Amino acid sequence: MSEFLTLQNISKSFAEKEVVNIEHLTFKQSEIIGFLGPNGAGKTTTIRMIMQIIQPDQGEILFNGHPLNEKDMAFIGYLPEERGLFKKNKVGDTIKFFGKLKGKSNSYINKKMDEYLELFQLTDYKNKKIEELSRGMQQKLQFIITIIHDPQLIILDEPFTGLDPINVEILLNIIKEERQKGKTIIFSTHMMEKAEQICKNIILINKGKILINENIKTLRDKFSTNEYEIECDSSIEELEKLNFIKHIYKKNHKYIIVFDEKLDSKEALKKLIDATTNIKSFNLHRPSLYDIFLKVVEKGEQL
Amino acid sequence: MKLLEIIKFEYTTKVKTKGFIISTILIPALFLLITTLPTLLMRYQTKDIKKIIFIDRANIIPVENLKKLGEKIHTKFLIDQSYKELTKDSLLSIALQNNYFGYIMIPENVLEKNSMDFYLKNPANFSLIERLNSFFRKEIIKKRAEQANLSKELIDKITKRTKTNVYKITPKGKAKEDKGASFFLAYFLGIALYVALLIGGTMVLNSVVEEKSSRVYEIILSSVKPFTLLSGKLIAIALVGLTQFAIWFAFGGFLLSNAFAFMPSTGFISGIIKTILNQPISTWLLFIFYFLAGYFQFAALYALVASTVDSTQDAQQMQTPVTLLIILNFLFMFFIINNPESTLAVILSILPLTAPIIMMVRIGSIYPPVSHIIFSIISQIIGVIVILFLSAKIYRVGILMYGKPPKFTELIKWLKKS
Repeated sequence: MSEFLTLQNISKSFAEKEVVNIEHLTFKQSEIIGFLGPNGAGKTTTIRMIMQIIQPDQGEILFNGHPLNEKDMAFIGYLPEERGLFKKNKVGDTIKFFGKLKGKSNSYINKKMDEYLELFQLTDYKNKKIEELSRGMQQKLQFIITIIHDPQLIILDEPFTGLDPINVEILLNIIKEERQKGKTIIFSTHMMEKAEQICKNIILINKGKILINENIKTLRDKFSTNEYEIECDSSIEELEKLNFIKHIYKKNHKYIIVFDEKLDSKEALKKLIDATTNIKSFNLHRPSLYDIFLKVVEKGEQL
Repeated sequence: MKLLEIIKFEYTTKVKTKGFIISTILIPALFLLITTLPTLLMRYQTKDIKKIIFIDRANIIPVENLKKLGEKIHTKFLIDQSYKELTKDSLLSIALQNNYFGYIMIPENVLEKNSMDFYLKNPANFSLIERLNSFFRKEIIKKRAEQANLSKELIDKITKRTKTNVYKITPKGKAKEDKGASFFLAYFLGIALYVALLIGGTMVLNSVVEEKSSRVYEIILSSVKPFTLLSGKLIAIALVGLTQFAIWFAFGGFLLSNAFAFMPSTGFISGIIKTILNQPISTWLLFIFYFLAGYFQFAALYALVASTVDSTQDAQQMQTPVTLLIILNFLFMFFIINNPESTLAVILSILPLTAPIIMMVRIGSIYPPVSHIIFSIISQIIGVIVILFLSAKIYRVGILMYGKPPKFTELIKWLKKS
């Protein structure tokens, strides 16, 4: 797969403070990338530089092999976190306006618009003013505007906030569909479970620097060392007395056990069978993205 | 073309608003009211005949002359021998009790003392007092002439009034009769621009603040450059203003010709309206030019201010310096009408931010030299470019900033950012 979007030696400072410093970052075609990081990590600034809303102090952004320019904006769709629409305008007129700004024809926009309005159950609101829509509806409308021009690259900043589970599902399905069509989706969020659910790769950024750029599975394997998850009839007090257990805690009827030395699953299970009563399940405990996030960002752990 | 799309979108949005429809109808209606109401009121007033007690202790005023004056100024002079003996206090109480307008007394020794008294309920009625003054002055002069044994013919000759005519000198050396219309033309042009700039500027201000507070900018900026966005907005709102002007011009003739029906055809106000309508096309072309020049300068400043704030309340505070600048022009207007050739007038009619209103006021009152107009036009074009450029630089940063409005020093930093 070709390199689709590349950030090369990008840096940006505001008032002498460096907000973003990315040596090299590449996005491939047809993948969903989770772009994660704590508040103020530099996510929005990075995205704004890709969107050419602000210019980097240094470095170069390449799109499809050439330096990114204004014309490329027609191939990118962006749903910012700070989003709102013209309240006094009608839903249909607004979609048309943004579609036209991206250079699409009236007939193309009309066809696509009707499809998407139908999909998001907004057809009846086509001629209503935006201020008459609920917050969730406005958000769906904003999503339609983001993809109305069939962009190759879709950047979504916290797309799920304020949506009910049904609409989250609709959105997730569309995102997956778009990926299957060969679109690249950069997905910035704090909702780790959602990122885990749909992203193949994640990028973790903190203090302007990229800490992790990995496939999620590999990442979780890397972070899972000597932690196992068991379900058994022994009480937590009994288990705590065992001398080979460094740390133990409860998680939904199960115990997460950290051994005091590095053990493979066979050795670990052996030790536990002898020491506990009636084991019902035994699993390698892979840390969730949430755990990894906390470890890396708070404790500064590295790969 | 993105610019075109933005103009189209902004324009149709603005033209469809209730505010636009209301102001398009309401402003000419107000104008009509302001121009016709005074004449209508004056007519109403004429039906109401004032009564004034008149006492001539010197016996010098011929009663038939006084009656003639009374007819002209809708006043009935009450002449009764019994009044002659009354004191000032009792005359006042009679006037009050009967709701008379007042009393006028000519003392016996008026020819020597050179003074007489009017006691009136409303001494602010200047036109009435002026008529009374000139009448009594003339009668007293006549009396003195009689005492000097001049013949009646000679007296008539001496006291005959001379009619004065005022002409406006045009650059071609021709003279045009002017019954004060120049003053009102200058006044009209100045006020029209003043109002247009304030309304246009406020529209831009509100539009930017509204978009910023609804957080729509980041979505738009993913498709459009800030400069394109700003120019699109300014052009669209200018077009909205011009649309309004066009509607008024189209209906203006019709409305005014109907308005004539309520007015005396040779009256003062109809004279002014005729003067305004009879202005050469160049005046209107210059009017449109100065409207656009002034609009782009002030609207860009309003957009600058709006981009730095998040809410309408903050905007109200921050816009004050810009609004004061427009009001300053308005305050200069009256000085300029009276002194259109002064050095101050010439300078102000060339500088950016003052020329639009001041030059139109000068054009209304005199015919300024062509060189002044050319200088002024060039300076306006430069002014528009510079102000637009600076405003766009701040606007670009401001629309994405939320929180406390920036300090002046921060604005300077934004300007330096590339």
